[in-house]
This record gives sequence, C-alpha cells and structure tokens, in this order.
Amino acid sequence: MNIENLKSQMRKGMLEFCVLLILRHKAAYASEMIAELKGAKLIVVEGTLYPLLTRLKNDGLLSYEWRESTAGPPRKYYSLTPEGDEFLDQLSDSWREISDSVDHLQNLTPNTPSQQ
Amino acid sequence: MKKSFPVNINGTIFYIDEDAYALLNTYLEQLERAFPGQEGKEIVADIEARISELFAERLASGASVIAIEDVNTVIEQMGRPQDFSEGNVEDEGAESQSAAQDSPSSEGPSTPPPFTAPEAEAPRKRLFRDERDKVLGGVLGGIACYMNWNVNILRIFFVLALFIPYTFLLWVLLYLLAWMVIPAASTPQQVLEMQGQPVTINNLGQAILDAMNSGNPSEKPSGNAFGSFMKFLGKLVAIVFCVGGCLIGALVTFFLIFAVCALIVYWGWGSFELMSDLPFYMHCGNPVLGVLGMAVLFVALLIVCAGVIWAAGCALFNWKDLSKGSIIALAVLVVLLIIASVVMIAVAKIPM
Repeated sequence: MNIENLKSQMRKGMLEFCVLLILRHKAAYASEMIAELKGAKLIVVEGTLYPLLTRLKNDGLLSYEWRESTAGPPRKYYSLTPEGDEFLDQLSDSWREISDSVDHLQNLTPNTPSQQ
Repeated sequence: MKKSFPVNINGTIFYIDEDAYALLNTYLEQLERAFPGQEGKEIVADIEARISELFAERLASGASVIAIEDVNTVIEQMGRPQDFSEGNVEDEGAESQSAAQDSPSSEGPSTPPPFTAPEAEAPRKRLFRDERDKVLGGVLGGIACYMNWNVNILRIFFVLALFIPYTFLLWVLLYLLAWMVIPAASTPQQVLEMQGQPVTINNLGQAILDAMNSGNPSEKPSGNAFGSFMKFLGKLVAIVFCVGGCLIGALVTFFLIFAVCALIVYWGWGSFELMSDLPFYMHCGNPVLGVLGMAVLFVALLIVCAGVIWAAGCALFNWKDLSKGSIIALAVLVVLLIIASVVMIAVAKIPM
C-alpha cells in the first residue's frame, strides 16, 4: 500500500464531511470553500470539489441560490437543507466515534502489545 | 508575437492568446467527456466560472492578456479530469496526483500542455462522396480519398472496367448504389474526416476558407434537387437491404441451428435421421463433413448479413460505422470461412 495513496484516500473520505461543516453556519460559494479547504490542506486539486457539490445537491443535502457579487457575474451560494443538517449530525456522531477510537489506540501504553 | 482574441468565459470577456485558447478548449472538452449528461454540464459550468475568476485575479495582478502559462497554472490548480472525476478508480487518481507532486519540473512555466492532450489518437477516416472534385456523384473521388489513391487513375480504371464484356450494367449499378448509399461530405468537418485529418479549430478554419475559395454557387441548386432525390433513393435501398438482410439472416440462422442440431444428434447418438432431413444433405461421400461445411458456410453468410444490416443501419440511423481495420478483418474471416467450407464440401462429395 502506497503511503501517498492512503493519505489521499483518507482526505477524500473526509471531504464531504468537511464541506458540510463549512456550510453549517453560513452559505458559501465554491471559491470560499476552496480557500477554507486549502487552508486546512484537505484538497490538492480544486476540481475535486465541483462534482462533489453537484452530487450533494442532487442528493438533496445542499441547495443553492444565485447572489449578485460586487465584482463579476453572480455567484452560486450553497447552503445546507434540513436533510443536510440531519445528515451532518449523523456524520458528526460517527466522526466522534472514529476520533475516540483512534485517540484510544494512540494512547495505548507501551506495555500493552500493539503496533505503533 | 502571438495572435489573441476575446473569449467569453462565464459572462466575462478575456483576451486570450491563440495557443492558450486551444489548450483551454482541449481541457474543457476533456472535462465534458469526463462528466457526461445534465449533471456533468452543471459541473463543467461551475468549473468554468472558477476559471473565469482565476483569470480575473490574474488580470488584476497586472497581466493584460491570458497566456498559455496562465492556462497551465489554472489546469495545475484545478487538476486533470482523471484526478477528480468520481466514476474513476480512486487509486488511479491518487497515483497521478502524487506523480504530479513528485515532479518539480512541471512547476515552472511550461509551454507544452502539462496533461496529455487527446490529439495523440489517430484521426478516423470516413468514406464520403467528394463533392468538391466530382464528375458525376463524387463516388470515385471519395473512394480515392479514403484509400489514398489517385482519383484520375481510379477513373481510368473504372472506365476501362466498363468495357469488360457483360459487366457494364454491373458497374453502372454499383456506381449508382454507391452514390445513393454513401453520404456526401457536405460540411467542412466531414471534408476533414474524409481526408482523415483531425478536426481541430485550425483545420476547420482552413477547410471553411478552402470551401469559400473553390465553391461555385451556381451549380448548387440543380445538384441539390437531384442530390436529395438520390438521398431518398438511397434511404429506400438501405431499407430494402436492411429488411432483406434480416430475412436472409433469419433463414440462415434457422438452417445453421438445424445443422448444428443434426451434428449434435449424429455425434451424440450416431443417428443420421435428422441429418438426412436437411435440404442440402449429400447422399454420397462423407455426409458429416458436408453438413459441417454447410454450417461453416452459414456462419460466413451470417457475418455478411450482419454487415449488410449494419451498413444499412449506418446509412439510415447514423449508427457508428465500423473501423477500416475491423471491416478488413471481417472480410478476411468471411473469405477464409468460405474457402474452408468449399474445401470441406468438395472433399465430402468425393465418394468413399
């Protein structure tokens, strides 16, 4: 198993969750999300975001509206739908479980036989 | 010095260099291919909006025109379609991503496109009637173009062939048939396809210019009326061929199944009864080999029928026509099968 490959798979799995988290409190358009995700080193190529947004929208988790911008053409602002909120809650729960389990494994004491 | 022109990307006008435009266009085409359907259209439109934004940022920082380096940077930033199209195998995308990260040489302003452009594949040649260079219907011109032959030599051979005794009518009929069935290269794009040239913006522009220079509009109307009549006849012939191919195909399939059943019965139970019911049963020599030979002949006929139906379908419903290679391969297969069956039947007829 290639280490870069594994890392990018982990990031890919997290991406939807992170996009929903960004949209939890306020609507955003793609470039804002990209800036946020890049800051967190979650995406390598920006193109990854667009198919994901369209899929989430078609699944009814996101909706969008066009808003005028001060510079340039109108922008597509995405926000969570009620289903999206619910979905995010579920994801948050399972993230907490995963995170707890990983924390637990990382905090194992050296005298218990395990792999680092 | 480079030519540049304005393009509209998501409602904003940018001045873009010619080579940069070609690269961007290729990139967007790749995206469109990677994301088909209504959903794909939306994705590509969103990406275009982002590209427009990135270009606007680039111009805000002092540039006056979008150069090929800018397009390369944007493509690096957005990623290649295989990096992020979701239908793809995940490992593949990850590997090419890491490969892109590993090679620092691609970071600099690289003039060649950083991704593999699809132009590498050989352009497909298609058979059209060449209306730009025609005596009657442009059939020979089209065939010459397709086979890379000299059209005048082909014409001389055709005229000579007319003088072969008893074949005059055959050649005339074949010519008329070809005129009806083979479509004319009427658009610049089809002319390029006929010549086997890749259909790119540059080529298309050149082809349109050529057509304008050599076009003689006075000849058009009469040619058109007759042309549409021939087209109608062509459709009719294609329908007849299609129906005929289906009927003969069905008949041959029936006989083939019967022959195979007979062979199975013979080999399984040693019974000749079913076999001797066959209409083409031979009473001398080796009947098993004879039936086997007939079966092989039927397979060859079936391939021919399928080919005829397919050709008619191409003319009628715009089916995707077969490549030259596969047509030749099928033709060779049919000839081999026929030779094999003739040999088998001939051997079977020798009395034991």
